[in-house]
Amino acid sequence: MSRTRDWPLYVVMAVVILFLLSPLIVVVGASVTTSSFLEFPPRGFSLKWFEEVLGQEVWTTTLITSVKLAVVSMAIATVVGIPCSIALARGDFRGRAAITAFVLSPLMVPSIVLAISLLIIYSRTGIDLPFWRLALAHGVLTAPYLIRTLTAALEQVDSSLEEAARNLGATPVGAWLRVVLPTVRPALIAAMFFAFIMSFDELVVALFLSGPRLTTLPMQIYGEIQYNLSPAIAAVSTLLIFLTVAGVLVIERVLGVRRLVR
Amino acid sequence: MDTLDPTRPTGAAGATAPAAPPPASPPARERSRRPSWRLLAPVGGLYGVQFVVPLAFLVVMSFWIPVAGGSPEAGFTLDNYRDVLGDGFTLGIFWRTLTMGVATGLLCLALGFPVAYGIVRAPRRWRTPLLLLVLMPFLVSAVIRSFGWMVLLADNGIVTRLLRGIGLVDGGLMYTMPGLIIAMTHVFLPIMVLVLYGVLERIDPRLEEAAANLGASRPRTVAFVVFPLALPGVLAGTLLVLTLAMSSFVTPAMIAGPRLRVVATEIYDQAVNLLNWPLAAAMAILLMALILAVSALFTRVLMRIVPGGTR
Repeated sequence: MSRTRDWPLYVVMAVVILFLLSPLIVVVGASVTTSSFLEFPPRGFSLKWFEEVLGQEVWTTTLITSVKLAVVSMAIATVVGIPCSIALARGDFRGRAAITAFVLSPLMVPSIVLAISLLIIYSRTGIDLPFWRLALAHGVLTAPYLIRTLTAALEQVDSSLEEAARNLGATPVGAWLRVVLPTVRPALIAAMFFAFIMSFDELVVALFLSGPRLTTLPMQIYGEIQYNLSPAIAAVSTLLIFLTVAGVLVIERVLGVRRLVR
Repeated sequence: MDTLDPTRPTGAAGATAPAAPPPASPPARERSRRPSWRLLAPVGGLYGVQFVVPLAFLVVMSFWIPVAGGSPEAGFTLDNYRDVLGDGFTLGIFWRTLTMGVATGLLCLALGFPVAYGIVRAPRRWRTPLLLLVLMPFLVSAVIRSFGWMVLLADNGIVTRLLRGIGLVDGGLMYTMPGLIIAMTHVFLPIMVLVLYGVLERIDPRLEEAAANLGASRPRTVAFVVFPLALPGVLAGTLLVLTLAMSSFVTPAMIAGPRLRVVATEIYDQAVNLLNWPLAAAMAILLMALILAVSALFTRVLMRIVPGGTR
């Protein structure tokens, strides 16, 4: 097919991709302004807002909180997700469809609904461990993604490999770790990366569950936007955009973008 | 974060699931006919505590009696549901949520289809960079993206000035429905592109070549060959975006503000600011019911279009 006649398609694509990038470009642009209010195009060029942000303790403490939270909830999702995926990939047992549907069901429940129900139950029971209840909630939000990706990957693994390892004397766990895990590692890493990002970016459940003593980075940004709209927020956001882009590029280098798309 | 899903959309790509059972595995380790409960216990425990029990209690709470300024009283009343469904203001919020979801879904489809199709048919070396360009905004927090839109849609923002220039709007776009829908479309467009990409990638390009050889133009080929083949994915992607949009909180809270409430922001207001948990619980359940109803409608359409269902 002639490519020359495709130019309208490419124009549409370019416009839509520009649309997709526009808020990111604007945020990055607004962060280098010399003026003290948000505007795009920026006025002049300065890094003073970055200096200000890096000098303020709230941003580093909330960043650390968010990273800790993302790591812990990713670990929770992985620890419950791996055995579950093994069980699902292995058997054609009765009730497999029902169990799969149950395990994936958090995908169907809006996070606002989960957030309000967790708020109610935790307030009624008086359990006040903001970090842990939030980490567990994020575990529930991210586990279905991990289980779905990993189960699909495990189903592709030839089970005779594992059996051969077992026949040669490996323990079940040893056989899994040394024979099965390496073949599904890319899928697992991609799924864990995604779980990390989801928890790191999550705002709704955090707003409901964190209570007055815990503030995550998205919460801090959200609060600042409501009470103190300044280029400092653009500077923080710019740093996060660059971090995300770097993370995506690393994953792309290591695993290929298709891992993340699939 | 609004729940996102690049990994695999419901139904749309379900076809990639293992087609055949793994290569004739001998019954050495007999493929278990019963689930391994030991392996399922961790996930069951986590879900039980953090998912099943809280949701069940949410249903219970929706029948309790709110007490002004105090904790709700256990009991059974339908007043909370009556308050939501019998009130023009809250019904308006539900209606706005539905229209916002539908508009977002359709706009995402209109913008996402050409992009996904273009990426699938682009020269091989362009595909990865293009996919990355779509994926990057998707992985940046919705808070930051909505913040970008606040700047773009402000009274002196570029988009506002642009649209004012061509006479489409006369004021700022912040706190308006058009502004909200623009931002929502942005937030969910990558998901639509990724779903459609997965579907379009599996359509044999030879079908298009055949159509072209028979004299069909590219637009005609897309409209009469590609689009019908992609229809299950188109519907699944639209449904996914629509339901995510209807339950989204972050973007409406930031772009639409308190003047233009949607169900999610109203639930937050009732639960956190007014501490009326029973009413918030009833709203949450009605939101799920609305989403289920829309999904059921879509699934019916899907079943009618695709003989033998989707999976």
